[in-house]
Amino acid sequence: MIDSLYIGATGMNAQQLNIDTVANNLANVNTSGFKRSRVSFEDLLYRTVQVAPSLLGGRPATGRMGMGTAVAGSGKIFSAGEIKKTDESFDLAIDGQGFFEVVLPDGNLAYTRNGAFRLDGDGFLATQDGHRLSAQVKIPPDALQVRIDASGAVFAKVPDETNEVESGRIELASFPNPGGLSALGDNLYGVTDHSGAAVLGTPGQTGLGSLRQGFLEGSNVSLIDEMLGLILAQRAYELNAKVVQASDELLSMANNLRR
Amino acid sequence: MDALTMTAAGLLNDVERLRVLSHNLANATTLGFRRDVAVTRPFDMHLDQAGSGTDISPPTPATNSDRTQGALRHSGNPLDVALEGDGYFVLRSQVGTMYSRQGNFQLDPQGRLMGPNGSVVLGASGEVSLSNPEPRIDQAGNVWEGDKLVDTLRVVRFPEDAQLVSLGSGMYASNAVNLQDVEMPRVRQGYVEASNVVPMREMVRLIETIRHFEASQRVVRSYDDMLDRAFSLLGEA
Repeated sequence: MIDSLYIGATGMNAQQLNIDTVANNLANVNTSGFKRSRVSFEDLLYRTVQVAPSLLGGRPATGRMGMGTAVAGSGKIFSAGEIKKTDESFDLAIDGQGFFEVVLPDGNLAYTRNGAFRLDGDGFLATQDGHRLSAQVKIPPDALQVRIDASGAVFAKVPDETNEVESGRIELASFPNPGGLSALGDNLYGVTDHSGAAVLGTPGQTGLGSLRQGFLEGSNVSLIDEMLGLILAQRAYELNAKVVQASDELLSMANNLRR
Repeated sequence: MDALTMTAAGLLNDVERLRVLSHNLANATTLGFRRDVAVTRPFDMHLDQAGSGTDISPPTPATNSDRTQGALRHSGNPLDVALEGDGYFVLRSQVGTMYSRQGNFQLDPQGRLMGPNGSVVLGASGEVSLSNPEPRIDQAGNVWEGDKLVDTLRVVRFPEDAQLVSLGSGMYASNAVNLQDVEMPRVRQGYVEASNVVPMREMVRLIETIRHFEASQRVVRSYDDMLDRAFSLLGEA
């Protein structure tokens, strides 16, 4: 009936998604390797009207009618989280860019920043959910101590050997556009057309971060930023609700033109 | 033009103003958004246009964008760049060259710097291709990868009277020919420009609009009453 009613609704829809995203970020403030999401909005314009500039005087005005807002996209922000000391020998933090590459049960590859690894039943390094690293690093069952250096080389100290045995190398994956990765849940990301193909490399080289054993990367969610975002989203929702209410009032008055 | 027609034109004008206000409020959190200002035509123009006819001419929707700077907000994302002061980024899309203040860029799988809807951000020497998703962008808009200068982001300024046509998604098109490159742009990496909508101002306008509509509605009703009384009085006589 009148445009402002629908425009107010686009604003409410957008803010709803904004609040959902903030809620998900806040829920994961303590998830290792979690990356916060951000929703971005765009203004919608889809009705053009001819305006004779001479009629308006002064600066020419445009004849396009704004029709509210829409969600332009929701993307992950891959800024670094805080690196925390844990002293667990299979905890790895990436100090810089890059992702660990793991194999999913269906054979596909997935990528994660969560370096809280453990050994699976066969002695391979795997995530907490049991997805093995694609490099298939096997730790000898009798290993006394495992050392992982900054470039991803894994060394195990076994009894009756003076030198450490190298048991594998962890590589990191990088992407032309990490923002285009799709979140698969469980802190895993999948390759998409937008992200580009994964390029594997040695940690600490060609722009990749180095590995730090005994540390974990925290979530990059900042409580203050999210709370601020929540307040803004809530108030913006309210504003748009007021617009809907005002449009309703206007319609009611129009109906009452004739009593 | 009789009182009824004039008031009806006022009512339609209020509906149009409400549309502009609601568009602004819906975009209170859209990055780089410039609020629309409804352009109302002076009354004599309505009169001229109406001429002898008694049609209620619907108001021609017309808006200008308010070019005031929005607040800069820290985002920490290396591909977010905000402009301080006057200027627009230059983008190339399928339909031609476009201009935008919305600097939350992305990369495509080839590493090109991209704006919204598949548009490509232009630097001084064309597309900006990056080999690393975390470049350094200095205040002058120079894009660095380590010590290597990749390109300089183009920032242009429009003359005061240039016509900027809003295309949605924070993009503008222009027919201006005398575009000037901003010599010393102030580009801030890791920041985004917030919408320049001030909710207080829009809410005050909203109240104003609603009340004006209400007043006009009363006028129509009084006029109706008046006619009613006139008919019944004349009928008695």
